[in-house]
Amino acid sequence: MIAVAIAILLGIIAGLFVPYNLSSETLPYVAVGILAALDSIFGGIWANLNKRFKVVMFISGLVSNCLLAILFTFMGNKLGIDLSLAVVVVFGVRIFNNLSSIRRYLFERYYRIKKRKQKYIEAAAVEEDDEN
Amino acid sequence: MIKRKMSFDFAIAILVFLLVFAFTWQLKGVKKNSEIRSRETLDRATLEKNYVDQVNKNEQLKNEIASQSEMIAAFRASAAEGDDYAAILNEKLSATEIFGGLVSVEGKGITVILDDVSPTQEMKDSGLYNNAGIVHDTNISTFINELKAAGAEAISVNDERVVAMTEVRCVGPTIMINGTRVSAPFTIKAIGNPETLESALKISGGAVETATKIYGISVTIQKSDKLYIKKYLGSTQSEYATMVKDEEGENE
Repeated sequence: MIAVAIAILLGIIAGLFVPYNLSSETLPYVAVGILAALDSIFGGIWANLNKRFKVVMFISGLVSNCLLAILFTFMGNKLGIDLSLAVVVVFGVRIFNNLSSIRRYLFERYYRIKKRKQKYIEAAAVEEDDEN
Repeated sequence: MIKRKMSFDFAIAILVFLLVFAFTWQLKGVKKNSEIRSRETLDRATLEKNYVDQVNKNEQLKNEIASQSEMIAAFRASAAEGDDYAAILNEKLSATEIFGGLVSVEGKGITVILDDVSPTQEMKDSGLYNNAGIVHDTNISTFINELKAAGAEAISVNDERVVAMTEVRCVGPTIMINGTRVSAPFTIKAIGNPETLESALKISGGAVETATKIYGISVTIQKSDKLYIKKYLGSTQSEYATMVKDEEGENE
């Protein structure tokens, strides 16, 4: 958590003070890069919850996603159709899917723990009755 | 377990850093680009303000010109009271001023009115020039040129006196003459022999025929016994040209 907070701060500072400005031609590439990064973050969190998280998979996924997204955008530019829309749709769908999976997983875990606690309390109450 | 937790935190932190960095950078770029775009397409309020400012400035400059010409008149009056030499000079000066368009003049002449015509279907079908019906700078220039050739002594377009360095050019939908925007209808006044001027324009294949038949604009010509033509109101300063004595010594 602390590492993430520091990363956000450093990111904002670096972004504000980078001397080079993005031109209107490079803007769509950075935009799809941002989407790829967001997708990787949610995918990583989901994998971590399932205890399947591997750094190699994570980084290779991020890099290949970024490259393909940029290639799509470039091809769209050359072909005259906005292929970056395809990238936006695919990543958007994946981000929402991952988010809902994470949400479901967390809620289920929460209810499981709550139920177990309830059982434990009930058992303790029964024991107390027996003693009396 | 601990190793996996640490590597996850680290990877996510780096990615979040990249994400936030790219995001901030992108926002900066988008903001800058939209600023540039808004500078290119000024909104109406700004344009109106610029226009009003410019009009006020013009007014101010015109007042300045008026006060300067009063001063010149005063100088000349005092000069005329002097000896014969000054009187002759004064006379010559008046002639030069009429020639140069620095004083308002009146006399016989003609008025030519050029106006836009909304193109009819017939005009479109006949394969006219595709801007048919709109008065262009070239039309006005042609008329001015013809009038000059026919011996006009003073010409004005919408009260802008045509002098030696007067320009006539299209600026968007209006026409710029002496640095002033004028728009249709264009009233060209010319002082000279009315018959000569009119026949010079109406000659077969001449200015009127070209304007009506090819450009499809409307031309009205009125002869008049007494035309008033306003003086030139712009600057007469020469920044680069200086006077030289001609070889023959005819310089006055």
